[in-house]
Amino acid sequence: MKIRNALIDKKRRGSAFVFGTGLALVLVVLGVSFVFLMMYMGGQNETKNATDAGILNTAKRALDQISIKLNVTDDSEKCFADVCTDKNYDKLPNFLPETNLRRINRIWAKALLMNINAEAAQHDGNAGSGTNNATSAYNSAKSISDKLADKLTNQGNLHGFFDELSQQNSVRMIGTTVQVKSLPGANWQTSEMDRQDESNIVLSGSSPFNLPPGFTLNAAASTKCARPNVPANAQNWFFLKGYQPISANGHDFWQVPFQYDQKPHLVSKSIFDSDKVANKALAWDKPIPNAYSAEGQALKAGAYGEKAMSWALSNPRQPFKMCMPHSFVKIHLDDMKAHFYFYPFDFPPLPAIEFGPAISYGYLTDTVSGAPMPAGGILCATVTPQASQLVGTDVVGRTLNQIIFSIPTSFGGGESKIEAYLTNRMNEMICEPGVTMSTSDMHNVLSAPEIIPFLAAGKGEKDFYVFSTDGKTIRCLPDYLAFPLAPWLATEISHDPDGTESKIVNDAESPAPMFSTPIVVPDPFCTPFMQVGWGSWHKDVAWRPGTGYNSCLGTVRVKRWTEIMSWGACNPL
Amino acid sequence: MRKRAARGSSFIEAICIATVLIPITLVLLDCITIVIANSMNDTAAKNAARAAASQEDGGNAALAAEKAIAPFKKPSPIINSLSIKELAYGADTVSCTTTIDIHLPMPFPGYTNLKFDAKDIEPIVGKKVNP
Repeated sequence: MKIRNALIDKKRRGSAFVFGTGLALVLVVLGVSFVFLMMYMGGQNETKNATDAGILNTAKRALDQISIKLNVTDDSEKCFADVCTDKNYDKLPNFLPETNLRRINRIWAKALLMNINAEAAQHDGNAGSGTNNATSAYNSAKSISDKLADKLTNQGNLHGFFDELSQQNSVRMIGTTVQVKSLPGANWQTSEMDRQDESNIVLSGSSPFNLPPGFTLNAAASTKCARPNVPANAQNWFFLKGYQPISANGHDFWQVPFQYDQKPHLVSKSIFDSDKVANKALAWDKPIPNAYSAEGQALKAGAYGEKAMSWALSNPRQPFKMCMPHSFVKIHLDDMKAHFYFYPFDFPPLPAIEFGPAISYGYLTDTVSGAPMPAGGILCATVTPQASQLVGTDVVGRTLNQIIFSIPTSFGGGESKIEAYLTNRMNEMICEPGVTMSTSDMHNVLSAPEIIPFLAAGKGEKDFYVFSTDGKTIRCLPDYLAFPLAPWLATEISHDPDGTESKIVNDAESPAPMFSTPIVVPDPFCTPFMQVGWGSWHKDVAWRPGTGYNSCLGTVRVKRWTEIMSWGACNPL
Repeated sequence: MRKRAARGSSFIEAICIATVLIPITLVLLDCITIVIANSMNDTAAKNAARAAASQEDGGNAALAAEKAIAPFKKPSPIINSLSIKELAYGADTVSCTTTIDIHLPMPFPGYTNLKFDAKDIEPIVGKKVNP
């Protein structure tokens, strides 16, 4: 009995120790498990954070680091060299043009603008080779865009950008030497988000956007900033619409949406997935994506690893204007001449006959003397215009604006057409978003007083060039003064517009304050009864449109001349 | 006499077990605190770096980073302080190191307060290209 009781006591004491030890073990196991669980969750969080950093870096780097080189020996690609820059405007020609996600909308926009010019010229019936050139530009823009799309959708080109940042971020809860690396596979995808929102291409002003006369941009092609709180400086801006076909000259042009001033940011999987082409069709056969997904993995050697996915929407945060930075308009002034007319067989207002050589004069007043016309009047042996008649008073001291637009003016409103063409073209040269040129601004450019001395210097044909020196302002100067201000002009200035010329102002006429007395030598047995001379000023203005394919946006050709009429008539004795 | 001896031995057993269990529990509690604090520090570093990366320059980045960690600075019996140790706003990336100073709930001699660093690197997305 004693022995039994002793055993029971010992058992009681032992069970307490066993219980205590068991409880301690359970506590230790639970505690350690909890710590590991916390570390696992922390590791998952760190992996996710590193993946987020990696995809954000990918979305950022993809803007600039994945690029397509343009072939400058091919005119249809070379024409985009001036928009293959992050600057709005570059004074120097670009001999090594490259485009990327940041710039691709500029290429599409310039191609669109060329095709708009071509369509407007077709409307006017003077497209010439502009239609084919614009089509070549479209084909090249599409080819460049397709190449860029191929590169951007090839995940192998993106892994490096991901690893660059993901590997720098610590995942110490998994292991101090562990790094998050890209995990190639089906989870690296692209998406076309923010559909119908704005691209980073700003239009000139508001509708009709200073486009050429004869072209109307479809209302569905433009939009205001789609952000809920539009930044103040963009509230009045219109942008081309992203992932929306924009038609011109029979082609569809595309833009990648980039909300104004929006930073590259992470997006949710559900929105990303819903905007993938596979889930939401897009008419663009090879769209350039603006959103990317990535998968990363933190792998501890010989142990467990953790994976995470992230999705990000890219944005260059840089608006550009739809423009042609390296483009110009030529203003050609024909040689001005004085023509001498006589009435050998009739009298005013019947038609006169020109006789004798026309005499050139310049933009300073000059005197001209015509040759005597034998039988230059009824019963006249000769009629000689009065010597040393003053010409050029209609152009002396005038600005280029006055040379083009002032008297004589046409009755058909031709000058207003020229105004519209020139204002449109100047707006196509402006590259600064938000800056526009009004008709009044256009006149101011052509009214620059510094042009007057260049007009006055010598006689003969004269050329002036309208171009931008900084993307914000427009100048009009002769070539030798233009080159230092815009060195790119040197390689482009010889190009003529690809359209054909049409006369917009056709022989506008104005009486000139020129009165004279011709010298009449009567036929035998006749005596003079009429010796009257007068003059008139005349003007033609022609427009030859250019698409901008070769940098030339058009030529305005101005022809001015003076007609000196000499009416002599005699009576028989 | 036997009953008294049994009660005594049970008391001794309880003390023996307690001397093992209580330190284990306290150590585990401290461990959990350390893990949670580190996780919080990671999040703070991440938030600060991302806020800084959204700014256009270093000055604004520092302000944004401070603002981002403000919610972590609420008075707490565990967290003595959480601060930005280093913020480097570079050309392409922002690196942010935060330090958390915690007071262990069950301090051991020599381990009353502990400091941990967390570092996060983010790509700068707030900088604009100058045209």
